[in-house]
Amino acid sequence: MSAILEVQGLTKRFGGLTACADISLAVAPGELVAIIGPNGAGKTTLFSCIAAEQHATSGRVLFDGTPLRRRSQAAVARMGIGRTYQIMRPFLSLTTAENVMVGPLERGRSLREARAVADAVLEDVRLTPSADLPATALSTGQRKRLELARVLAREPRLLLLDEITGGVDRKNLPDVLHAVRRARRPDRGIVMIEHNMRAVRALADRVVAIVDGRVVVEGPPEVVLEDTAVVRAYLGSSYRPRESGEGDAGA
Amino acid sequence: MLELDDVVVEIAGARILDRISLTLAEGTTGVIIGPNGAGKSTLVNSITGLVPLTGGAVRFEGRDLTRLPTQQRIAHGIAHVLERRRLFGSMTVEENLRLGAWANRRSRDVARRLETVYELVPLARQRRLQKAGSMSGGQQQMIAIARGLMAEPRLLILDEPLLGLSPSATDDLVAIIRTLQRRGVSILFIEQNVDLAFGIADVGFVIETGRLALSGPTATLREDPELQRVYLG
Repeated sequence: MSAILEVQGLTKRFGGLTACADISLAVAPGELVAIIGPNGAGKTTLFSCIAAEQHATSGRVLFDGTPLRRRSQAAVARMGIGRTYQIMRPFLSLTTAENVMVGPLERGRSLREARAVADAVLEDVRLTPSADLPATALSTGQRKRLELARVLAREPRLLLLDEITGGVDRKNLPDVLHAVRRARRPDRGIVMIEHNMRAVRALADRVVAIVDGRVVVEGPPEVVLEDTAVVRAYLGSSYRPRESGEGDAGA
Repeated sequence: MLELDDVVVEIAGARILDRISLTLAEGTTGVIIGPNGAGKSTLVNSITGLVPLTGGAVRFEGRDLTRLPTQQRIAHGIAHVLERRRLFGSMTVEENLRLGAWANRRSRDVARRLETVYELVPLARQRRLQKAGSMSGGQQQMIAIARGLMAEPRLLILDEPLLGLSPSATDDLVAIIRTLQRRGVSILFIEQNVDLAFGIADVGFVIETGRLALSGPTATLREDPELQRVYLG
């Protein structure tokens, strides 16, 4: 099957600073791809270019084979690209369910239909018990799942998750992982920027590592997370781990 | 000199720090490292009282600080330079520095302290009449640390002091940190760049989703396979 998302030679410069340098990647329907990389690697800029919040300096983004060119953010969202943000901004005066209903209502659904969509999505993200509570009553982990639910209610074919596990404590992590798993569909591609490697190993089919704006390696999680260039990017060149077992005898 | 005993911080129902115990000996430099969102800033904020503890205790030179407000903790000899500087931009460098002496209010002392700080941070003397807001990020970081030094702290806490600095500004700042180390100031700082962190600090504390995953001399951590697990799973 052809890719749902294709990024071809994408470069984004801000003045003299190159945030993304000649990035190419593809995501197939049904696939979940994680993007990892140290702070400032250019991951969020890449997301912004895919979601048309910014436009690439050069290179192309194709969604379902169609080049996005300089389409607006709203147009791209209507085509079926949805993203979550690191900083969550739910409507605080609305309930959890009402927050989720905004998307379907905007797309012309009736109140009853929008509520049905919200109920289904909230069940997937395990927020049913909080459906009629104000959004202000939710914890960080719950708000992350609300953020996901709001995007899912728009039934995106490409889902972009920006640090969906950020700020989520150990106790709440399984619920967030569950919510992402439930978001998978055979016809939907998911791309997640992720710092929590436990989440990466648990969820991703494939990992793309970006360092200083460039893709340095991609492949299955167990390969990428042990790759020398990736280890060096995170831990520096002076990090020289003993072979496992070595030196442990006397410890 | 600094002891954290089973420190727990919960914010909005989420456990940000989960029973962290650590000790920093007098005259040593410790670095806190760990992946994004691990709780590093919350940890240093819990030491100076910028976030309240849910449980556990913070002791400094044997004194229990747990229930003291921030200004009293500072008065006991701790200075805390926050992430991203936060100088008063419309005030001059010297005015900013004078504010740093606020916690210890023996005013006749201020002139002498200024002189000491100017000696340590020559940039502060050169720019003493310049508005702080008109300086570059790296220069402001230097002034923020100089302001912290005005309190003559025995423990200096720095939250990502090297963040966003150019290579030459990084060198200048590291040089100041080394001078402070030689003069016996204890330092606890947060740094994302592991290479740089280990090059400066004697001991490292590795935080992973709210827990102390690893700690020890940086020379040992540099070889510890567990460090890779913390960052890369």
